[in-house]
Amino acid sequence: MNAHGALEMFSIRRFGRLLLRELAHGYRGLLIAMATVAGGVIVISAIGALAASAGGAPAGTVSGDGYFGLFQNILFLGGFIVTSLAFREVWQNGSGIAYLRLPGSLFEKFVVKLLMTAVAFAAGTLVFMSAAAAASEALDRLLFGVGHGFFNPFTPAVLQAVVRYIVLQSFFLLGSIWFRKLAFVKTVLWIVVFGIAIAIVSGIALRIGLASHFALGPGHGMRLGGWAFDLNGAGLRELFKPGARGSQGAMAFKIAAEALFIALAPASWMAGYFRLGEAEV
Amino acid sequence: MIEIRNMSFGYRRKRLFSGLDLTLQPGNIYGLLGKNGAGKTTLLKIISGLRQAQEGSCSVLGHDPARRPAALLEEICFIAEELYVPALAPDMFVALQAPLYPRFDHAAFRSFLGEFEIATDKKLSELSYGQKKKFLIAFGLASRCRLLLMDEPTNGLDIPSKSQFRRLLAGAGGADQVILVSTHQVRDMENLIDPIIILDEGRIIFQQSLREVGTRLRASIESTEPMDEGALHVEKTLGGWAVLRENTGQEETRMDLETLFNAMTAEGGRVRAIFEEAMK
Repeated sequence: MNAHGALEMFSIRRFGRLLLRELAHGYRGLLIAMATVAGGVIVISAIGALAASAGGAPAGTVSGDGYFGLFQNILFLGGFIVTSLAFREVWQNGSGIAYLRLPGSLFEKFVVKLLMTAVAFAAGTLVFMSAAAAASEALDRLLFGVGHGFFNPFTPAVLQAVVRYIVLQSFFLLGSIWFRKLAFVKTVLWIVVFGIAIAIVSGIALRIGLASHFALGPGHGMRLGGWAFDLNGAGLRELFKPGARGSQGAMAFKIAAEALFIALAPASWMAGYFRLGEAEV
Repeated sequence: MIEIRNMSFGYRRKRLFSGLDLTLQPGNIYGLLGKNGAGKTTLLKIISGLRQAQEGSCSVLGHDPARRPAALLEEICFIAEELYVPALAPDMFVALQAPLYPRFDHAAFRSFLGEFEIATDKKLSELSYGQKKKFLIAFGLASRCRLLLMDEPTNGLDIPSKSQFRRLLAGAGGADQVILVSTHQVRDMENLIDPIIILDEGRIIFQQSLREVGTRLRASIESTEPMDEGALHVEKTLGGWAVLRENTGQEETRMDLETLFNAMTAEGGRVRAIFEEAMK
C-alpha cells in the first residue's frame, strides 16, 4: 500500500474527529448509566455492611471480594449491552444515512466503535469502579464500621476479566453490525446455539476418539444399546488426572482452546469490518 | 464528474434500474424528476454510496461510491428526505462535523442560518421538521462539497423558506459543483433546476437543458382541445388545455416543467424523436 492508500485508509485527523463525534454523541447516556450503577454499588454495599454490622461483626471487619463481583457484572453485562447498541445508528432511518456518509474510511469508523466499546468501556469501568468502590467503602466504614475492601484494578483476576471481556465483547460488536434489530438478544441466542453446537460436536468427537474410556463395566453409568455413557466423567477424569497418560494432551488441548478463544476476537472484528462495508440503507 | 454506465439495480421484489446510463457535469443544478417509485431516491443513494449497483459501473469524482472512500465522502453532501439530527446544540454539531469537510465555509454557514432564521439556542433534535431541514441545507451548502444531493428539499418548508431556499441555492452553486435535486415539487424548483432529468421505468428517458427544451418545444394554454397531429401532448387544466408542441420558430420559449414531465411519461417517444432529429 502506498502513502496515498494508507492515508485514504487512516488519517489521524479524521480518526480524531470521528472519535470526538462518538464521545459527544454517547457521553451523556453513558454518564447517566454510570451514575445509576454507582448509586447501585453504594446502596448494595451499604446494605451488606449494615447486615454485617447488625450481625455483630466487629468494627474494622473487611468482608467480601473487594467489589470484584460487581465489577465483573458491570463490565460484562453493561459492556455487552453498550456494545450491542454500537452500530444501531447504521440501521435506523435517517441516522444510517448520516453515519455511512460521514467522511471517514471504513477502517476508521470501525476502529472508533471498537475502541469505544472495548478499550474505553473497560478502562472507564475500571476507573469508575475504583472511584465508586472507594466512595462506598468510605461511607460503609464511616457509617457501619465494616466494609468490603477497596477495589484493586491491578490484580491478575481483574486483568484476566478485561481480556475475557474484550474477546467476548467482539461477538456483541459483530452482532451489533450484523443484526438490524434486537442485536443484544439475537447475539446471546446465537452464542447459546453456537455453544450447544460446539458442545455436541466435541462431545461426539470425544466419545469416538476416547471410546474405550467411556465404556465401563456392567452397572456403571447410563447405557444406550451397546454404548455406555459415563455421565460422571470418572473414566475421563482418570485419564486426564495429573501425571496420567492424558494429562499432557489435556494441557495442550486447554492451551489450544484458550488460543482459539482469543483468536475469535480478531475473527469477529474482521467479519464486522466487512459487514460494515457492505451495509446499505 | 458522475458517470453511470449500463447500471442495474433492484430490490428483492422489484427490478428498479436496468441498463441505466447517466452523465452529470459540474456547474449545473440538475433536476431529477420521476413518478413515485421510479427510483429517484435510490439513484441518489447509489451515487452517494449508500446502495450498491448490482451490474454496470458508477463513477463519482473518479471513485467507486460503493467503496465509500473517505476522499469521496468529503466531497458529497446528501440531504435526505428522512432527516436525522443528533441531540446536540447547533454549535456543537458544527464543531464536530464541519472539520470533516475540508472546504467548510463558516462565514457562509452563519449567513445561511441568518437567512433561514434558524434558532440556535435549542438542541437540533428539538427543532421542527422544517427548521431541521433548513439547518441541514445550510450545513450542506456551506460544506462546499463538489457534489450536493438533495431529496425533496422543499418538502416541509414554509412559503418564505422555499423562496429563501431558491435564493441560497441559486447563489451557492460553484463552477466545480454538481447539484442534483430530486423533486416532485417542480413549481418550487422552476427557474432553478437546469438541466432536467426524467427517470421512468428504470431508465433515464429525458436529459436536456431548459434552453434546448425551450428551443425545440413550446408549451401553451389553449382554450379548445386541439385535435391536430402537431399537439405532442394535451391535458385538461383549469384555464383550458395545456398543449405541448414542437417549437418550429426561432425563439426560445419558456417551458412548463409539469407539462413537459407529463408529456415525457405519457408520450415520450414523439418528444424524444424531436431531440434525436435535432442531434443529427
